[in-house]
Amino acid sequence: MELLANLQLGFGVALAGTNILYCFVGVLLGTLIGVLPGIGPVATIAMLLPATFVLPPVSALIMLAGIYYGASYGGSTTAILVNLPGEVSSVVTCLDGYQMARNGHAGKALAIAAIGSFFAGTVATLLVAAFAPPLAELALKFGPADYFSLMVLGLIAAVVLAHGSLIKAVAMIVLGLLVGLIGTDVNSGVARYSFGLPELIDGVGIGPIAMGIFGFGEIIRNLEHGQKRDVFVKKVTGLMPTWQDLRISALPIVRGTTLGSALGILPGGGPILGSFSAYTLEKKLSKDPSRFGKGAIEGVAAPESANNAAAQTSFIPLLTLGIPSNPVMALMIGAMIIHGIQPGPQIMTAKPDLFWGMIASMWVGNLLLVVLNLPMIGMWVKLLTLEYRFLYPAILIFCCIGVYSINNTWMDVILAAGFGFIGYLFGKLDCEAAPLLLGFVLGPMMEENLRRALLLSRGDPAVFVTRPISATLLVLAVLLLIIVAAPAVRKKREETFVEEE
Amino acid sequence: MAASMALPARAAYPEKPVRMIIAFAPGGESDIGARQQQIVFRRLFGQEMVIESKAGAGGALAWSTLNTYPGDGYTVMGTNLPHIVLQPLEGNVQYKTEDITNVHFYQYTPDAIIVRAESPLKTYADLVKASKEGQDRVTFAGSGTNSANHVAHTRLNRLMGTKTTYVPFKGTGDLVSSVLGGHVTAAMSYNTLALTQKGKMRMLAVASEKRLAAFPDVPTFKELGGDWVDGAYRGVGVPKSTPEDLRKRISDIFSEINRDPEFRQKMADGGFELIDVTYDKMPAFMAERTKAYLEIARMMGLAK
Amino acid sequence: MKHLIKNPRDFWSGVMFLAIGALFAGIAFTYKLGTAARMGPGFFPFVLGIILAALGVAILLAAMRDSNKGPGVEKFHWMPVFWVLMPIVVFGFGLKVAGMIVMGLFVVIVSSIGSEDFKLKPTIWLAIGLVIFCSLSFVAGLKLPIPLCPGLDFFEQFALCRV
Repeated sequence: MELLANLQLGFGVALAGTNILYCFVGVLLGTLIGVLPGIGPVATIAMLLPATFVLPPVSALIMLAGIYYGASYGGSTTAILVNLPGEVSSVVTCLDGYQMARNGHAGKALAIAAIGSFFAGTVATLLVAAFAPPLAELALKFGPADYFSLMVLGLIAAVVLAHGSLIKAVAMIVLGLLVGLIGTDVNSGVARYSFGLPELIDGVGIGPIAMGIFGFGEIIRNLEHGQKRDVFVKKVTGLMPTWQDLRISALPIVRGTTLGSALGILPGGGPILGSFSAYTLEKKLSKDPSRFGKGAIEGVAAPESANNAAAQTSFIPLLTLGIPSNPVMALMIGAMIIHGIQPGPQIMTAKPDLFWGMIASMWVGNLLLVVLNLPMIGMWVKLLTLEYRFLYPAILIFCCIGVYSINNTWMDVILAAGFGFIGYLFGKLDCEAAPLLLGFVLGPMMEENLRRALLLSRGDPAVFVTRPISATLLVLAVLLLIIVAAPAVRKKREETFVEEE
Repeated sequence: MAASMALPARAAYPEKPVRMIIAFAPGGESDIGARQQQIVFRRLFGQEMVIESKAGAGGALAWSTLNTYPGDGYTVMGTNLPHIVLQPLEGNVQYKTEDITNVHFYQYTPDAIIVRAESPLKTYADLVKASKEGQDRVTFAGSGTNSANHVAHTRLNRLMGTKTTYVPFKGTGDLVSSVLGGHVTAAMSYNTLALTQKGKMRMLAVASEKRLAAFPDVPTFKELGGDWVDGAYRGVGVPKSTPEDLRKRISDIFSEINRDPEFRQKMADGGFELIDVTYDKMPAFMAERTKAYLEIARMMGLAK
Repeated sequence: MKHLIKNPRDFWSGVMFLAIGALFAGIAFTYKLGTAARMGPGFFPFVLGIILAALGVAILLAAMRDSNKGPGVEKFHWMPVFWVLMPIVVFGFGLKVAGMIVMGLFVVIVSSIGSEDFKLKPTIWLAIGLVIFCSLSFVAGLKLPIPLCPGLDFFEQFALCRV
């Protein structure tokens, strides 16, 4: 068994005294910084990169990887506690996680997120170890046309995210697509909708939008409704999930892990698509979809598992092909080069200790995350019992600093304030923001791949149906559309909606 | 502002940490290069070089603010060619090429044509033949529009006498999977790509003066009959208010870093070709480069 | 007019989508539209803008049907909007000039006024505590390039030096 021998080598490296220490330090730092709103894994790794110069390369990369998944995990904590998605992939966690917290189940939500993430991390690590090279080859088969069709499928799936009016959800997605187009067009170099402001040439970041709409908008809503409420959450029930909770979450975790692992391999948007589609799937499969968005535990378990699985499998293109699938991976490549390691396909054979050590450390890191976070849940939940008049100014100042530090520009802070108002307006008009965010993220990729596909086919749109991958994805999209929009289904949706009111 | 008073350059410079603003995101080539310099800078001069990333608008966001910093030598900024020549030509940016006071160019990565290992194109001659037959069916992936890669592609078309298609991507990392998956014919990129993808990709020709040490079998465009030595140059610029002696001192500092043996080894491993365009050679170098870029820009329809 | 609108929340969302869609499509018209093979920068936003406007019209019309009755739009509370967003905007514009210490105190104290049970004394202590925490963790610890207090060299040194 070559795999076993390799894993043995890997665990030998990962469990070596100093490496496990660096892994722990990375996970701890990542969690702590990830909890601060706005400062996600990219900023954290960029800031802590110089600190790793003095370490041996393997230790440095193990620590950086630890920061990466520590920070994503910390981001989910903020999403659940105060409705602040630190990054896009935790947007979905906000939907039900925050509602659980408001119902007094913050502890359960955090625990199930940790358990789901750990399970997903374990499975995904095994996947990376056993099938990294063939999976990477598979991902290469995706051409621009296939990506476009994948985005279409993702967007249609996003409609299900909404629990209100169908047509408004579609409109919000389109609005998100449009906001995503602000900035320089890759194909022509024209700056669109930037109104001459150099800060807008690169478009609007996800940070200001997510923090504005979810964070600031929510604070305004809380102030207008609950001005008399002293304590944010009055009763806190059950820190740990019950057997019943675990039973309900088991299958969603498995399904989330599967979806996340598969989508994480594709360069670009893996964890995002993973968590969104896992949520969608659970809502579709649920006997009572109306519970979603109101604190359904599956709505936390599935996307959190998917998110973490995708975060692990996004190392596959990096480790086997040297392709950075997201900004964090681009930084990891930078870190490798600084440490004198040439990233790329040869890394597995040239540096087996590094390759397998990193893979093994992923599992060790996930284990450490659980060990670290389960005892901390009590502390986080206590935070919620703070008087709201002390809690929200603190959130505001962290957000201001966090948003500013993403690009070191004042513009992002102003934009976040603007989106805060828009978020408040959306609330008044019953327009849900989650589909907008997915549209925002996928919009630019969709346009880029559409135009690239047509450029390569010299304008022949047939390419979308003649390529087998693209055709399959489009057929799936059409099927999904029929299911979602079929009159009977629609009627049922409206009925459940009316009952909720 | 008190800090904007230019201090007389002392031999003691640097006396406190120097801030190096990089116009690109962390993890990119400019960032990696600067971080390698950071280590040597600390060792040789006993001070920190703090790297601050101000990425945006292909670098223009940082460059348009260069002259707002105090000219005391403690804020310097990474500059890139051909960006600082091409961007102002295009018009959308808020700085002019003359606004950037370059004091030293220290590295460059030469343009290179790269195909995947499975590609039937074995040599540059194969590529020319295929391009002549296929014309716009032959596609080149590159990073950005009106970028160094785009310029190089225009030049390649002129050299081959063809009309192949340029397919822009957001960055070099983005285009790798399209090249490996065979969705485009080749990449118009730098030698660094061939280095990271060794074994999976093949370089057909490179726009360096001499053959590269890491690729002794790959011919230069000069050998292939083209007058083409170019690529992406990285250097350092200072605010306009920086006094002459300080500009020279900073130029010397980066020359000295370039001479450090350990640094040279690391840069060579990363595929960075070191050059040493010092402050006194700068006017001639910029004039020569600008002329070359203007000519290509006219072909691309960028400049009047 | 009023009695025609059966579902005000939907109606006004429709108006909003129509307006935004029209705006995006209108501006897209000033960019090159191009052809299918070589789409110009305006093509995609133009099409999307039209789709959004059309969806807006559909939502707006549906909101005038009897079968689609819905609750009215809740009252806008401008006070919390002002007390939450104003300090953020001031923070954004003022950070470079006034530094994080001053701006941090400002954000915490001013935004607290938005709460109904605002008391000055505990708020000031909260503000001081938070600013100290932020200075230590973000600027001293993480080395974020945030000006603490421009003009005072002591703080700037503190921000630049690395451990």
